[in-house]
Amino acid sequence: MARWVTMDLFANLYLGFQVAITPLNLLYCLIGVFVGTLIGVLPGLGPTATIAMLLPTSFILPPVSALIMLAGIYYGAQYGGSTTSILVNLPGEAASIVTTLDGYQMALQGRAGPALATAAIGSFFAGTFATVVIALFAPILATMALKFGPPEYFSLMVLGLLASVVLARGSLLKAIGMIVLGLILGLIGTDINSGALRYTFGVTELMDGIGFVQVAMGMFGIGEILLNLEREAAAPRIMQAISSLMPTREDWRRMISPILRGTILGSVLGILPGGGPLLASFAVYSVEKKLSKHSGEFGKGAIEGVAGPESANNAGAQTAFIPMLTLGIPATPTMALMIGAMIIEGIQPGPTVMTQQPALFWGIIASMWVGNLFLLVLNLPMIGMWVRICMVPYHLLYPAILAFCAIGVFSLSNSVFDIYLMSLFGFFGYIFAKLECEAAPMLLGLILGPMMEEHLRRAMLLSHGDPMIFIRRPISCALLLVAVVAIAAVLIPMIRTKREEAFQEE
Amino acid sequence: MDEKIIEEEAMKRSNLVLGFVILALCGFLAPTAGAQEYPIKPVTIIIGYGAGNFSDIVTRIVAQKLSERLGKQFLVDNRPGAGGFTAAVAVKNAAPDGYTLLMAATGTLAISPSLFKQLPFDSVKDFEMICLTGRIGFAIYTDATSKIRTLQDFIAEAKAKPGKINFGTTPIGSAQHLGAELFKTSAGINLVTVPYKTSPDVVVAVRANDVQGAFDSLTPLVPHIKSGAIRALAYTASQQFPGLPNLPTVSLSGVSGYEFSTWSGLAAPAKTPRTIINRLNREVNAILAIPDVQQKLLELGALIPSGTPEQFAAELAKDIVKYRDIINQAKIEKQ
Repeated sequence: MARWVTMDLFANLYLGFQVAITPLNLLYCLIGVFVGTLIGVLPGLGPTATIAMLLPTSFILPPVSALIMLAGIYYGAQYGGSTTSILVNLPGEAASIVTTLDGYQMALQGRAGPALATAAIGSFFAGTFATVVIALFAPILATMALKFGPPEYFSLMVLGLLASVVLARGSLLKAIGMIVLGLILGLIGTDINSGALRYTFGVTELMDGIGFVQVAMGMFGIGEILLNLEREAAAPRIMQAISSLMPTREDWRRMISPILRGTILGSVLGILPGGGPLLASFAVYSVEKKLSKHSGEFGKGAIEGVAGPESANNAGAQTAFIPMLTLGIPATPTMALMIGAMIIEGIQPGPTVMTQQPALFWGIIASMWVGNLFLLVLNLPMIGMWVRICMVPYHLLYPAILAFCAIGVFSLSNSVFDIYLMSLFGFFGYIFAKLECEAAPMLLGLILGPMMEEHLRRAMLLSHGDPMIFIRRPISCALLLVAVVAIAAVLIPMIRTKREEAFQEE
Repeated sequence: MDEKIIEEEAMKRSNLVLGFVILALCGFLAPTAGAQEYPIKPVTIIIGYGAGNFSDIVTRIVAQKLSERLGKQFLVDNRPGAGGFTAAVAVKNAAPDGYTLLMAATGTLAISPSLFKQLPFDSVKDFEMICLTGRIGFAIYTDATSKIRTLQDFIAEAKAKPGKINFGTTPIGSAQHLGAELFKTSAGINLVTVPYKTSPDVVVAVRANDVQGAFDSLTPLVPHIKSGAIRALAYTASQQFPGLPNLPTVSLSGVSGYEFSTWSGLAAPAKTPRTIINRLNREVNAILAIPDVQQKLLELGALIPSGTPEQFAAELAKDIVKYRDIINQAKIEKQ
């Protein structure tokens, strides 16, 4: 292990950059991040569908170029996803839900420019850091991914669900209600442990459960459109004149620590298959809200609320490559496609890639940094253009958003049912907004609920019915302890103030 | 850039997308054509799995070769989800003119009839089988560090500790799960079946020793076997897998008569003209004989099938009965 971290690293990175900065590979990297940014910006169109479509064309390329391009699409899309979250309140993927909370508020205050710039700068820093993490620690971190079994995931989800309460801007009771609603919606579909169909009412499309993207685009995107249409007659959408495009000195000061914390947390959680980057993005949000001197501004356009989660999800997107590159285990469906691409190119994914194909392994890693640089260079000048979208009269803008939403949702599985589902949740989104119930906690319930149930029941199967498995396994036990401490931290001050109030009344 | 240009950009983009949508619709709306000059327009192959899945990769390889040989585009249309039902129903309802085909799989056509009380299609009556395109065997495996080295070891261990050994598979009702159940009854052992969502999840569970053995299709396992991360104990098909000559079959490892494999194959809506079915059967068989194609299928861990439409239909009929028996024996409740 020690040898790994010494001079070899520089020799390896040198080898990697030799591969990554050949004109051909630079071109494919650029194509990849450009296409990725585009599909990231189009709501609903995700990297998985795009990579799948481009998979056959990649066979004619040399393996390194093909993988560099596919990887570029993947992290380019993560980058682009934040743009629609900020401009039109549309999270393109799970990890950018959190960005809508403060990013869209900033846009409404005429600060879309600084919000987009913060996202771009935070993502670049996180991408650079995560690349170094991969280069230095990939094999060590890969073993950590293997230590995460069902009990560990369950405990992590418990912690996540507790933390999701922090997302609430208004009433705590309503936030809990929305989480529970999300958990209930998550019950729909096929039960993995018995094959039983739950609440599908004979509708085959419901057999796989309610998709997150359909709900998110409905609740956030369509719901927001309905609200805006109602509002527009009365007041303009953007409340204040558009300020400067770049962050101010004050903004810079406030974004630095959230970016650092987001990057570290994102790098660590990104390694875990299934929901890692998502958990990272809102864990960081909760942390920042607690630590910030401006915690009152969260949910109303705090720059920390954009900087932290955006850094976290980009770092996570990058470190998600670790299990794939070192173990041959895909952390996301997109990674599974890349493994497919490797196999067809005649490369056996797994630990041998590093030793037998060092040029490929280090070339991909070096290209990630190059790609992140491309993204920054591509995105900063485009901010001016994106911000203008905010000035397009809404009656011209919303039909386009609607059309893109419909196309994006349809492209998920070429099914019209998904468009109906999105429309239905758009209607719910409107109603809930009127009732001042927030969508973000519900979506987290919807995503985490089924995963939690799955891991709980699997853990119990593994232990033959012994619940002590959650305490016996050290990582799981530690996570549960943190959850207990978190509850105590919230409850104890509440009890104390209650008591003090009681004493004062006497 | 002013607003107008932005709008125009958006228009251009949506036009492009519209173009694709129209292109996709062409497959359904085009008029029926005479069989003698088939195909006179693009053919759509609908598949009930997402892109990147084994069946999808095979479909894309076959579709590309069909396009080259027949001079018209063969498009792959992914309709993932709902156990392949959406895809099957779309093909069932399409015109039987040879321009809409189904990449059928064991799960949807042979297993579902015994898992569900009601199906939106009839596997036998609603489709014409054309040609098998791939056959997948399964492997029973352990972690590379496990002290279990052979299938005999594994069975002996299971008999010594009944109900104590965890056995990983994919979800209830999947071919992996049913194959594992059949293995348990055939070998007369009692294992705790632990269903995971995907194959990579099962690999992680084996490597972390959460489960002491697992049953999965060979395709996702080949890289892990070759890298030495996991140890394959036995292969479930009737013959050995050419890519792994040291891997014995289950029936030669102490569970004689045990044979389990699944297939994917091209099908068409019922009443599709015989001439088209036969033509496609000849072409697909010829494609599967190309060394380059065989090489790719082998790398994916698949066996290469061949045969007439009648043989395919007979295999489907036989499989429906086989899975009904497994499902009854494993006491899986119909949904």
